[in-house]
Amino acid sequence: MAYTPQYGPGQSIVAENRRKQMNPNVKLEKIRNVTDEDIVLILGHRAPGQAYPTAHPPLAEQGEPDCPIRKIVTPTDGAKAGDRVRYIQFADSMFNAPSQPYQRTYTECYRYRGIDPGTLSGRQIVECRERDLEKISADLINTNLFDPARVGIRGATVHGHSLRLAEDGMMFDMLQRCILEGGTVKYVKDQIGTPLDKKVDVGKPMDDAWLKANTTMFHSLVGTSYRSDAEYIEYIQRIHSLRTKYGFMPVE
Amino acid sequence: MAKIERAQKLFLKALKTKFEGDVADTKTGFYNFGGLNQSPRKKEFMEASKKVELRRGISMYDPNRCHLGGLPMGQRQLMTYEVSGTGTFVEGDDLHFVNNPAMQQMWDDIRRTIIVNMDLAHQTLQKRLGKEITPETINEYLHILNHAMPGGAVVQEHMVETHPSVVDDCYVKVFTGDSELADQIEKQFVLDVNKLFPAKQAEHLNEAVGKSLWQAIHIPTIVSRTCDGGTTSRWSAMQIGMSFITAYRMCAGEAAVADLSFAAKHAGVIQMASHLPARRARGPNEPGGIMFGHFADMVQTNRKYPNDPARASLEVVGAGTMLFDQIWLGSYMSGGVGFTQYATAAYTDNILDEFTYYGMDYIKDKYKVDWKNPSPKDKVKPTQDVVNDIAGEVTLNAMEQYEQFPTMMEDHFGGSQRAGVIAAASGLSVGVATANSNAGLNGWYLSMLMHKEGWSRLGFFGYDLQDQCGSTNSLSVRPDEGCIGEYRGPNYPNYAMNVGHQGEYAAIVASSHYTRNDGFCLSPLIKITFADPSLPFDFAEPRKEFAKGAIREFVACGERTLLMPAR
Amino acid sequence: MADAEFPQCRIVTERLLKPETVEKILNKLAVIPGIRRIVINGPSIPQKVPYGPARGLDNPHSGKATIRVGVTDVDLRVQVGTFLLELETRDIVSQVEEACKEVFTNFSYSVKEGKFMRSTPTQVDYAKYGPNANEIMLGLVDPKNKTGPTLIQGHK
Repeated sequence: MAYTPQYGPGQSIVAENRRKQMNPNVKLEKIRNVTDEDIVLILGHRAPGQAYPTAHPPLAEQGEPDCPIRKIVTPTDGAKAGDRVRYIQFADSMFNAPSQPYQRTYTECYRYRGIDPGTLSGRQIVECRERDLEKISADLINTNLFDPARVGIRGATVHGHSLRLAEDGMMFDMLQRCILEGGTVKYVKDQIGTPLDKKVDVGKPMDDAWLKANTTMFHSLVGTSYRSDAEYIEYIQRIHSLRTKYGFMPVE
Repeated sequence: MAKIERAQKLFLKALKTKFEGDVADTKTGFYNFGGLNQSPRKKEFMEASKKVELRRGISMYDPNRCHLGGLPMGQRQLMTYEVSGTGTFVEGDDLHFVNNPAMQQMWDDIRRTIIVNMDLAHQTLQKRLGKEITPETINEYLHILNHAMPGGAVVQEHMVETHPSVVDDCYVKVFTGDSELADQIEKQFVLDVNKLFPAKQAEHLNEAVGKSLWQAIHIPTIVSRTCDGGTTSRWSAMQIGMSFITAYRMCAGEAAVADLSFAAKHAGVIQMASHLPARRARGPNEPGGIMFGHFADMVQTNRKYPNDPARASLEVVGAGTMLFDQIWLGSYMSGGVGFTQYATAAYTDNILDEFTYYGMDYIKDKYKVDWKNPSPKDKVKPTQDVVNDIAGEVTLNAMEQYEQFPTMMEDHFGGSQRAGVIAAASGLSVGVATANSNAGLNGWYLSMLMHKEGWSRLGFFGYDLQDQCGSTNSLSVRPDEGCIGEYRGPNYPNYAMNVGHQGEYAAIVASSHYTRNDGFCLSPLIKITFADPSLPFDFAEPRKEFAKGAIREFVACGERTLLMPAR
Repeated sequence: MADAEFPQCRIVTERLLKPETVEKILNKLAVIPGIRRIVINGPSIPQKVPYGPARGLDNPHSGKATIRVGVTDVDLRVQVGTFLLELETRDIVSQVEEACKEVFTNFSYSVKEGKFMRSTPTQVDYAKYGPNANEIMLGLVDPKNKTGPTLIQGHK
């Protein structure tokens, strides 16, 4: 019997959004158009136009050992070329940011190959080969996974996810990598805080109604309360109960 | 956003007492003493300023004229903390164990303690040597032992001795469940169970200890600091041996001495902590080997406040996070300067306290658990549904509190702080409701799963590691896979490496006994030993003691200044 | 000297504030007679990048502005979201509330009485000031901060 992934329980909009983000058959909604060059600038790993630095020779040149696994797994473009492993890291505000740490990790695992995500409470990092990273980053920034004001692209000094928003609606960033100017958010520093020569415009912050309708985090004050999604709670309690029961290794 | 700040329920209560009036009143008689002159500091400023003005002929401090005359304003990124339940405000640095002598003394008092049985030695003396054991001989022995234990010479003439002032914290007392025997021993040497404990607890303890007689020994702080926890039993056994030889006029070389030694070093010894495997490389009486049940017995709050098992458990959280997170994992194990920030989240600003008392209200309303009158009678059967219901509700409430009050979320700005506190409140509530430590632990793990799914984030990696698999090992009890909570400890396989958990687990274990008004959780001997009012650290009030340490009011032992030129 | 207990209150705003708003409210608060001392609190905005690959670089940040309170310049080091005030008497809380009402017009705020600041010294103060710490300065800045509090000056 073929298994159809369900991606998660719940009847709330939050649950629905989570499923949509995770399900690779649902196209992520393209909202903005940050160019490839601008994404390279924000990432800060190489200058636009610069050749990709390598960690090893291209696979075709270095002679692969006779390994059945390597025959099964098609290398990604970045792996094929021998790119370095680089990263993009996000800080997501708890005030209705569209994606949230675990949600990002699950989503990326369903949608991309050759990645290594790391999940913490205040940030989520994904590492992969550099040219793959740039492609993935374009998705992560240009679609409904991102909000210019409540999601920060922050390689370091990430403090902000649990703080109140600023008067202008921006999430706190001690390095102020981006500013709200003329109605749109512009990155003035790359993700680690090095000033950029030009401002990178990542578009208009989404409004409160959109954020509430698109977030993947429950929040009883500004969003959908966790308690209101009875199916979600019931499901987690069911998982917990089954895991507890499994501790006794019940004979089927 | 309507609400910004949480109601400081506990604080308001304190304020009300302080001002003896309705705190909503905007006027009080308390301050109506005459404006600026009511402030001694301002008065002092004005007086000092007057002198300067006379000397230099130029006007200076004049707050009446210039009301902006030097209004001090500071900027802070971190706030001061209130040590929960104490009303004392301190800085984070004051709660680092290196800066806090009370914290050091708490751990010193555990590490330098050993309990040694007397019956084995008495049997040797009676049966092998035909000596008579009477209350008089026991008193004589205790006099000698209290001379020898701190380092006074017995038996041999030319021994060097320790200076009494640097070992003044070292002494030995005895206890027994036999009230008749206890009455015949000099008061100064007796831990009187009937006086120290509430009646019900005393009854339980006396019954458990029975007619056996035990020595509660505290070797000098300075010795256990210079050596290690493994020294405690050795140091004590050496002095015990010498004291028996002296008290019972034995020949120092006779074979019975070996039996006394064996009893004092091995057969009759209760260590505070078992030794650890080679990879953690510690001897006995080091923090990693303390079982949660024993730690719950060391803390004495339930003895002093038997009608508030929540408070007593919260004191275990404070003491436990300090010892296990700050000292054990933070320093002993990681080699770092201590995980103070993680630990303090659980015992500052009354946040865990408020979540826990919410749980108490809930179990009272829904399950009719009269938690203020602890007894085994009204406890709820720990079914999975009950655990899920209580832990689920307490978790949801705590998450909502963080959501509703941004300042609380900013206080606990990291996921690990929030996860520990939410799960602890959940586990304690289940523990108090069911009197079952493993059910309490199971509640903790449900809380972790719910928290992670609700907010799509949890804590640092350690929370992913042990808390995602905890449901499975929390109720099954099989070798190397599970254990009842009382026997778990910082060295339990799944708990050994993660900060932010062990103190709370110990408290969950404690709560399941405090709620029954048990005399002890795991060891009656340890419970009685730490009830000793002569101990420098008051184990009934750990958080208050930490606060005293933070504000320079705690006097610790192991002092060396006597031995050095003054600075 | 007898320990005087002074009432305290805390202002928390729904949003973290711009320097201009901080300047506005502080100037309103500073002219209320009977405020003994103030702490402004919020996340730190460092002079230089403190961690990561860009460590040591300058950190231009619009929140790091210099504001003027009374006749005193204050270099903001934090993005302010909370104000702690110690008062001579509780009567002036209403004036504090009035000031907030005038300044915080675009978002909500709360003013709450309670105990929020330290008024007794701790180990940290002993290490910093010795045994005779001036209690009016206690807890005004982070323990590791080297610059200390600002004395706001001004005339009627």
